[in-house]
Amino acid sequence: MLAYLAFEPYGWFIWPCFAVFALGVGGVLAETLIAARRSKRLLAQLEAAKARP
Amino acid sequence: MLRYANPKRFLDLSAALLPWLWLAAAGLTLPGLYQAIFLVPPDYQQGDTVRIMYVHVPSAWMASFIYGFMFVASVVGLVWKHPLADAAAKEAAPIGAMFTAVCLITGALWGKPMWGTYWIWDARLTSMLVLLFLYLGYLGVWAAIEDRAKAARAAAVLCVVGVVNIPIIRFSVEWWDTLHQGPSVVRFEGGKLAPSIDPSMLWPLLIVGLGCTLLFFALLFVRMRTEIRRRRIRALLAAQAGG
Repeated sequence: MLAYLAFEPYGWFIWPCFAVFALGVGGVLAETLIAARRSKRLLAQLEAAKARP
Repeated sequence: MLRYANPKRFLDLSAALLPWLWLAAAGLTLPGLYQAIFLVPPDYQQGDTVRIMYVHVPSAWMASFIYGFMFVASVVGLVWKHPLADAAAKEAAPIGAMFTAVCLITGALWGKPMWGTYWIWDARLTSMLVLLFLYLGYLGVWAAIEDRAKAARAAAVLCVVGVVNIPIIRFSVEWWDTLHQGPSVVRFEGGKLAPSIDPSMLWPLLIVGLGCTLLFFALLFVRMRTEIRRRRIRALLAAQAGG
């Protein structure tokens, strides 16, 4: 299996491509979800403060 | 369509769609990539480097598709001043920039073993690099102008002007003599659109492409929901500051 996945002699070009794709998609996904969670939390705090007399 | 572009309706509709979009995006992209690594046969000329196509080509498709989406949203924003159109274009841009960068990097990594060089200033590669600069310029305009209405208008104008690059990318391999190969997934033959690669290689590519498209819409919906919340946050902060 490992010999197959080495994709000789091109493994050094193939695997970095999949890594770049995973990093790019994963990075945007993480940034998107973190920003969504932060904005939800901040909005909830502000609305709670507004509701207080 | 415009009925659902009302922010309240958009929030309701996107909340209902998002779980299915995430599921379908993961359910297509991950098996597609599995097939690309384990099941697709090596190409008779490119050998195993053909596997790079399964991340490079969908990224290239998404880079152009997302810019086209931003163009439509920008026109709607400029003409009808729709409140969600600017948000849609603005939130699509980082996703498009990411796919463009992935396309350029994976293309360079494929180019080295196949062409003997990571980069050449041919029409296809150069027009893709211009697309990345357009994305970065668009994001730069939003970051540089504080007044959000002015930023939206300036960014939309840049996006509309920059759309001229999309047909250049598409037809660059036909208009000029390029090192990048011509259309090699589907071709017009005898007036019909016909696949030019074997189905065992074509299907995983289409599956990853569709998965990336659904992933884009899932990311976009979450980002637009965040932008709507940010607008509400700004309004609440302004009201607080106003006493």
